[in-house]
Amino acid sequence: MKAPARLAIPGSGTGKSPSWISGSASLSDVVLSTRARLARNVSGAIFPHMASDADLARVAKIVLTAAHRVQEKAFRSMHTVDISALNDQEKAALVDSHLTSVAHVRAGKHRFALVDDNQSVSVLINEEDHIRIQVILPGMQADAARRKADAIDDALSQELPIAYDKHLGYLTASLANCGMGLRVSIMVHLPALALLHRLPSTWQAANSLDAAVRGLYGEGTEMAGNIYQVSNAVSMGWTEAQTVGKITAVATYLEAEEAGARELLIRTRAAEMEDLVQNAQHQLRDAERLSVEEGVRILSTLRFGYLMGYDTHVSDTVFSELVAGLRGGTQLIASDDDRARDVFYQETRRPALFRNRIRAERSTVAAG
Amino acid sequence: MIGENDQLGLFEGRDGEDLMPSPACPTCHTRLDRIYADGFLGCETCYEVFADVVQQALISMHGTSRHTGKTL
Ligand SMILES: [Zn+2]
Repeated sequence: MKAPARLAIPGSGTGKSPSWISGSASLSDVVLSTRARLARNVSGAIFPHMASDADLARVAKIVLTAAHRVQEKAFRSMHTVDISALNDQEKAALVDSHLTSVAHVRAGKHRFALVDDNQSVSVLINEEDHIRIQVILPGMQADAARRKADAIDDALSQELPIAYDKHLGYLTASLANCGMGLRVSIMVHLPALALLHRLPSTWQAANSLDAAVRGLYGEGTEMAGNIYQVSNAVSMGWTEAQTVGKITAVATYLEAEEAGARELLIRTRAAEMEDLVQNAQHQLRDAERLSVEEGVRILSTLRFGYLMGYDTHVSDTVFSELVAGLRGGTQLIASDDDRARDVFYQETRRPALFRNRIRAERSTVAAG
Repeated sequence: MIGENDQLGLFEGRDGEDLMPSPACPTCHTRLDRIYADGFLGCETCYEVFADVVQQALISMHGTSRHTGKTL
């Protein structure tokens, strides 16, 4: 689909409100990315959090061996990453790309990640469970992500004894994952609902659809830039296909709510929205330093403006790239000294990084 | 009544057990009070030796303790 022409923010007003393109939203406006995750354990081995070094080493060895044996049919191009051999910056980069978790990179020896070339598939070894299979795809692709994870699970299950009970399903370290071991999460951006203070009631409705909500970097993190993770709240009593169906229903609901909110904002608060977008543009233009939180807030507003038809040039691609590049992971991983130094470095280079990327997008659009 | 550190808030009828040492899994040594506290088990044997507690916890968390998904 061809993108609609972008409107310039009127500098010297013609006295008319900007002609917003529309108040509509599509699933891809709302759902930035989809992740499917399967939790599995090797039968006969103690779960990672209670395991000795020797137990962990043994599990790592047999899972890596199995993964390499099925590499041909299950994965296209997997790289084995020994987490304990990485420096803090490399660990932070893995967390930023959502290929693994903060807990995993902090856990110590015998932790591995198998990562594919596209950074879309990762298999984590000795995370909370012995095996975590994770697939991340852009936009709303819950079924595709789930099927891809399932295929890898099938291949590994041929090679490994898996902890499973016919009544309880897959046995996991946390009872929260027991059963399917499946979590399907969508990353959603809901700026209009946030502006209207409608998120609390929206989450209540999402909860009633059996969905749970978290912030950008997972449990216990700030809800930065109106970006949220929505995932299935339970892992028993449903089939995998039903889980995908439920998350799809939540996405559809959120999309309709966000579209309604945008329409209302356009109809009743157009001038205010224009100010908001313009202020974010000025803030970025003048900034010498930007924290992760300020950065994601500005990007959120500029993407909102873009979706509403302003020429902020923060398209989906630019938004996803810059949010992924925020490097919030460093703040979660590094030691105190490194963290202070790195946070300062990142904060001072961030404004130029944003401005340059947006300028490049503007040139591309102008050339096209 | 249930202690305040019972984060799951799932369990009842534990009165009078406070002075007894919490039973432990023979394989991984996870103690029952850990499972009450955060819902974490240490190994497959935990699922067997604490089967009743596991079942109760699953019902409170998921509304059921019966897996209906993928089979191995
Ligand atoms: Zn055990």
